[in-house]
Amino acid sequence: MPDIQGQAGASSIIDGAPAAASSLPEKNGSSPHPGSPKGKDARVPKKLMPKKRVERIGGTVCGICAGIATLLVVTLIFMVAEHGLATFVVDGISPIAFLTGTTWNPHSNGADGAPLMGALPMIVGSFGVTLLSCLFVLPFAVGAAIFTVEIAPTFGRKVLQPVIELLVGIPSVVFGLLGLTIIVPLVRGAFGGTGYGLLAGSVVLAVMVLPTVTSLSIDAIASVPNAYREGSYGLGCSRWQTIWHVVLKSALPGILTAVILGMTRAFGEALAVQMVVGNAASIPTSLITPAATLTSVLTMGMGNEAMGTVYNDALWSLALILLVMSLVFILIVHLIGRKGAKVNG
Amino acid sequence: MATDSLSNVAASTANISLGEHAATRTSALGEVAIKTEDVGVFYNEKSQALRNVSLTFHRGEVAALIGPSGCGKSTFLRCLNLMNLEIPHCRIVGSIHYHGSDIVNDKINMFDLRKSIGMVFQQPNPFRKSIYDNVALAISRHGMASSKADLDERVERALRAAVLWDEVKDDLNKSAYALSGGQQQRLCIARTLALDPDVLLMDEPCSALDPIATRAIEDTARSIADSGISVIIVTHNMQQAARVSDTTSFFYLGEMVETGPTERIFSNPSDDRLKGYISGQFG
Ligand SMILES: Nc1ncnc2c1ncn2[C@@H]1O[C@H](COP(=O)(O)OP(=O)(O)OP(=O)(O)O)[C@@H](O)[C@H]1O
Ligand SMILES: [Mg+2]
Repeated sequence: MPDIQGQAGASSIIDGAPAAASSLPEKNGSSPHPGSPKGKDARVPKKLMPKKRVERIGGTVCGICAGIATLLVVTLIFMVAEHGLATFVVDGISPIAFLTGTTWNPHSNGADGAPLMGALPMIVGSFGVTLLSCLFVLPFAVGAAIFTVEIAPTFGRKVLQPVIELLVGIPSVVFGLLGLTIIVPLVRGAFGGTGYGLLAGSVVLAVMVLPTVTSLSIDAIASVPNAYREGSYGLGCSRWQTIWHVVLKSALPGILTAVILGMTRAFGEALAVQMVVGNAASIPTSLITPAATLTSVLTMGMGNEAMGTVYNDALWSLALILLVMSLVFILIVHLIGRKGAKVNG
Repeated sequence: MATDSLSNVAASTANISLGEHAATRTSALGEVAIKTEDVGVFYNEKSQALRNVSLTFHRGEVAALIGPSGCGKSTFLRCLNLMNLEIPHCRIVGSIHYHGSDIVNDKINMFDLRKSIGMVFQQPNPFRKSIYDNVALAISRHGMASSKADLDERVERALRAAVLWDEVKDDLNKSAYALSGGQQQRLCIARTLALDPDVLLMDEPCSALDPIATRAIEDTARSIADSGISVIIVTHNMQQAARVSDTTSFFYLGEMVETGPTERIFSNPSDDRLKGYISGQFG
């Protein structure tokens, strides 16, 4: 907000710079400024005047938009928090039991009379697919980024990067469908079981986050100053030594940021995961036993429960966990950015 | 801090040591280190950036390359360690004799070559690592250290040779970017010296530095040359060339116009272009 005003202010000074501009009539008056020549010269200030007004209107409009966006985010967080916390405050479920319980069956009560609401299986499932998918995606993304920046810049930038970025536009349901018809049978064939589970889920997620992580890794590697590479070559280091010890080391904060943004996406993805993860709300004993994630339980349960029921509140609590985790991810990205800025001086 | 570094320079110039090589270096003083014959460079097929440069550099000497901007000083310097070959489509012609072989040759091992012909760049470019790791990186990559203790010793020796040791010895794990510009540049010199080079190329190493840091680098260059290394320094600053170098070569529009002992070049230039350059008519 202050930025926008500052900008508008600065450019209005520039607009006003020609002395004639501020004293000229705004409209196409029949009497131009006395003494100012008609024709070409007289037209310049006329062009400048509306621009100044546009700047001011633009500033206001952008300010309002920024305000609404901020309000929206705050309200959203507040609403999720309100509903999510109702489980504990209104319905009296113990938060510890909620976070550590291993049985998710809100329709029946446990020995202590409280509904069986242990979210741990979903928390484990969500973190499992997220971490695993990033583990899968990291070598591919960094490899592709190194190839694009260091090895074949022309091919990389003109062919590889655009093709990978095409993946961004593919709807997640299509990824889910592909996972269902390709990955699940493959996993079943290779490891037995049903094929549904964390492994299938994380492979699908890895493909989904590949473009994000790759693009951001490319940016990170490309922003390593050339002087570092020259310095390394000048010391007789080979290309691979340079890439490994100098370039990747310098690009590490950027690559970490890329991975964490990828994790944020993976953590929040619902549909594609739900289609291949198996949806069994119990702690998975292996990567190929059916599991559930916070998102998959949410999408499957939300439509069936009326607002205000305990089950519904519990689903909001799951959403709250998702939201908090995303905020934590973003916070980490900011911390990395700040640390990077400090190192850069 | 600044005056500190100056007195350090004076103190360690006297007893600079580069270990086991120091003795052989002193005896090699004056030996030809590197000799170019008709070296030329094409950045593209149409235009030749450098032509017919024939120069000889000796161990134990500081050679200055001077000339107006764009005359090809850097281009020439980057031929000597084949850095130009990192530029796509760049081609070097002529011959450069080094240790009895012509390095303008497809079969030459550039990595070994650059190990013994070190280079320091115009902008200090330490790696985004600690001071210690900046120096240790290339030593380890070339497998020169036999043990951790040996590595420590080599790092210390290099930092001493670059006259930086006393300023950084208390915190070698500090980021290189916490150093001042002049210290960073000496760190870059140190990491080059750590590889026991016999030629050191410096491309305007002081252009980003203040006068005091500049003096520190100049004194360092001098002490490095005294240890038996051939130092070749590109500079825009004629006072610097006069202060630090034994021989000076003047480049103009891609050609080496005149070369000779520094004193003679500045007191009694023969080429008109050099006369004009020294008297400040262009440059
Ligand atoms: N990478 C490159 N690609 C194409 N042409 C280049 C390249 N580097 C230098 N040149 C050209 O080669 C010529 C010599 O450049 P060089 O950098 O060697 O000059 P210089 O004497 O070092 O100048 P300065 O004192 O400004 O550093 C210039 O005309 C320059 O345009
Ligand atoms: Mg130059």
